[in-house]
Amino acid sequence: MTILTVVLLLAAALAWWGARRARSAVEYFAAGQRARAWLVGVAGTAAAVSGFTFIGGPGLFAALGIGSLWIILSAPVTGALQCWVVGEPVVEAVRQRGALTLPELLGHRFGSRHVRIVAAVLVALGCVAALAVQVRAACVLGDNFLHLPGALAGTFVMVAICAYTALGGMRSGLLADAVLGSIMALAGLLLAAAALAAAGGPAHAVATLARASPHLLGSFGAAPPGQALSWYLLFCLGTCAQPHYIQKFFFLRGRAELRRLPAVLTAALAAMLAVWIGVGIGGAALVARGSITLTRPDDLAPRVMDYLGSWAVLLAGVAVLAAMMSTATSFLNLAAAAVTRDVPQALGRTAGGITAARLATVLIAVPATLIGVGSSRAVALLGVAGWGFFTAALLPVMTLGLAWDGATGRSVAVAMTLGAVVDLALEAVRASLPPALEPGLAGAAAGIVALVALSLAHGGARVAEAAPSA
Amino acid sequence: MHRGETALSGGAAAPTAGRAVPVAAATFALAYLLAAVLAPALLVVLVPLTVLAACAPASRTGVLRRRLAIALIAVWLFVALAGAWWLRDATTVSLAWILIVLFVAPLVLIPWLFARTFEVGQ
Repeated sequence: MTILTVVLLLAAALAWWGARRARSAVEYFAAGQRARAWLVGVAGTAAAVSGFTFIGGPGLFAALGIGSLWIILSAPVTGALQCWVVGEPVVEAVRQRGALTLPELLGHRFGSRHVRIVAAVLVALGCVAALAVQVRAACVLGDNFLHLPGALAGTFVMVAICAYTALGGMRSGLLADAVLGSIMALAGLLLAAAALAAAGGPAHAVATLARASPHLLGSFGAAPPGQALSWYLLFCLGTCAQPHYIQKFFFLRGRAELRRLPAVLTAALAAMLAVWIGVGIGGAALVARGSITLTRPDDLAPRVMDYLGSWAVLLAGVAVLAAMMSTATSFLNLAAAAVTRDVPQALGRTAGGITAARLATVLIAVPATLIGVGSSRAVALLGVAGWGFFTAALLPVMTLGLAWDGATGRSVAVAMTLGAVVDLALEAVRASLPPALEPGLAGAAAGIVALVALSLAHGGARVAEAAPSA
Repeated sequence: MHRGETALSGGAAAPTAGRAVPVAAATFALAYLLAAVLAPALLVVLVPLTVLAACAPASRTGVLRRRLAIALIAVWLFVALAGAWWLRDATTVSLAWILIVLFVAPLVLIPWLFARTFEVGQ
């Protein structure tokens, strides 16, 4: 309870600080567009990493061993990939057109209000679903780490996030995310080192696993190789399609900041992901030698923290809380921007001001909290609208659409919609799919084929040839 | 604004891809669907090629050394994935290969390559 009270007080102070500064749309939605690479890098990584990394990641290692690591092995590539594929076009659009949001950028790029509306609706829906998942995670955190009723923890956390996000927008959010990201990175490294040390060191832990649980080792552990490779591709290319990642490029003060951004993104991400590798290998070794017992794989992280001592339980709880708060901040702001700025402007109306955005932030937080606190089944259904959903909907336009002169607005709108629908349809029957077929990638593939086919059919290629003289 | 004229036209990151990039992208998209269903082993080749294709528009706007850097990353990724596939039954050697070749070494090298090939005025 003390932790939550401290969080609430800090959030109130941050809300007061942000409310005095976030008085324009640029400040509220894009943090003033004067952030340095280190701030954007740490905050962006914090927003990207959810509580799953600290709890679900090690749990997945307990089930699949090395196979689970294929979700995070693309981390060294993603920073540079994002900056090459998405960062440069976004920074250029900000410089030339003053775009503040992703749907706005896409609307300008294709000269189409339909593109902007579709993008805004998909971003808003995905963000609300992802928010509900974060609230649910806060409930689980309360039950397992903070020894509080889950509903109380979830509500407390959401009130705190809502306070500084609604009042200060991303002016507060960016600062909060950077601080939270630093906590997560430090906690990730400490917990990983402690878990490996408790297992007798990395070499001893691996030797224990090789002797007692060899099925967890090998290149792909207990995961089918095709599934592991698909995860690599999904979480590698998918970074170019996550709106809460892309949002951070709008905050940069200029193109020169891109030079150092991959280094900051990669270093911060590696530090946070260390917990997955360290607690996974160390914890699995502790299980193999009988030091801890599990009733289900997801218990690995909580049991390892119990084994390490109360300091580890507290640190893990704070890290998970930080991960949830930083992720939720971005989703709240993105959804508010979509509802109060993108949709009205695309319909030819005046965008709602900061007051409308603050109100929308609260109104978006309420249903997300109610769903997250009230129904684990609803959250499980909404959980599919996460990484894969955004990858399916936005990857075609972010990788190909932005770069190809021949891409037309109509084909982009169809590709985004088709990608999202294919992803959701395949998620509904995921259990019967081949292991290597990831719904998010399949949706993106369908979207890319549709984008190319429709654009070529509409004469996109012919226009592309004429574009240089236009 | 007519079709083909874009808000980003003329800028450093203006759309540049010709017909080859979208056709390649559609081909890779279809290839993924087929490989995932029929021959997952082909993903060892398809993953680096797809990453390369995703970076293709960026390489077209950049200088030669950026293209070389992106090609180098694709080659490294292919070698790393092929090695992982080849060592898939070797319990401890495969872990070392994955953590060192696929994860730790590029943590420093790829951001360094990006910074070395980055030009503010591109």
